[in-house]
Amino acid sequence: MPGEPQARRDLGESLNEVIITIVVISLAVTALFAALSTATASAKSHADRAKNDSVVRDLAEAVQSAAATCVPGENYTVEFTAPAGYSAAVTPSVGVCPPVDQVQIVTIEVTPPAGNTQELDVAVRTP
Amino acid sequence: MTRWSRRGTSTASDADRGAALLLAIGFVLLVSAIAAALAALITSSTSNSITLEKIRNRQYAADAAVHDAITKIRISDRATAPTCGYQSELNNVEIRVDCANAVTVLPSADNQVLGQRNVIFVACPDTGAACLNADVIIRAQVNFEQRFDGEVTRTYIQSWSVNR
Repeated sequence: MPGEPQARRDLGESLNEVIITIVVISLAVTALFAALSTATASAKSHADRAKNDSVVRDLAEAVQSAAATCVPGENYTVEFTAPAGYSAAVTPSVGVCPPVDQVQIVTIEVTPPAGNTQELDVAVRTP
Repeated sequence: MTRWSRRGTSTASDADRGAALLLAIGFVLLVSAIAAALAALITSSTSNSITLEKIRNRQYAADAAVHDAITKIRISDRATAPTCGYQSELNNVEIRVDCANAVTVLPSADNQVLGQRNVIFVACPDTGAACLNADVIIRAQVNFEQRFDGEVTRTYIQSWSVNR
């Protein structure tokens, strides 16, 4: 204001600066926490998918291993224990060894605790 | 000297004007950089897990295609060199299997010596053309133990390599 000392005008600007600064920093910190939270959730999701993938592969290998000693017409039994919290299903549930000139498609379903079911088809045959 | 007069006469005070805002802007830039890095990390992680799933599906599709080719070769005429070129689809992946005879031992007429027919299978993504070395997913050598009349008594996997 005209006639007002220079020092008094400086005092008001400093206060405005401080308020704006606090607001800006608050917004930045909020955004940072949101980003960290998202990153944490994403990392957990990625870890879950990776673990789920390993369970699916384990089950697929168990199915193929069970069929490796197949005799046509007889049954083969898949021995697999899903990790705690996981559920695993094999279709057909009772494995009948296929004829020697055919492969049998077995569908594997694994559901992790988070609930994102993964499905994989594998082939087995009589050696 | 009063407080007002000290501030009013200080040249350092004039130089500091706006410093807090500059610091805040700097802080915001730093936070933005951290957020950008986190976003890149998230994108990369998601992409990695999707890629792993695709690779797994492709490998088991190739595995199934080779097993299917083995069953076809098993009942084929042993006197004919196998050409394969079989195409199949599993887990939404289309696979082609090519094959070629390896060293073969012919069976004796009295079946005292069983035939040993060895076939090399290669599986790759189906492009409509023969598999190229660079595209091979599975390469396997399989032994077909045969009687003189051509019946295969058993198959043995001699080698089975998953390349990609």
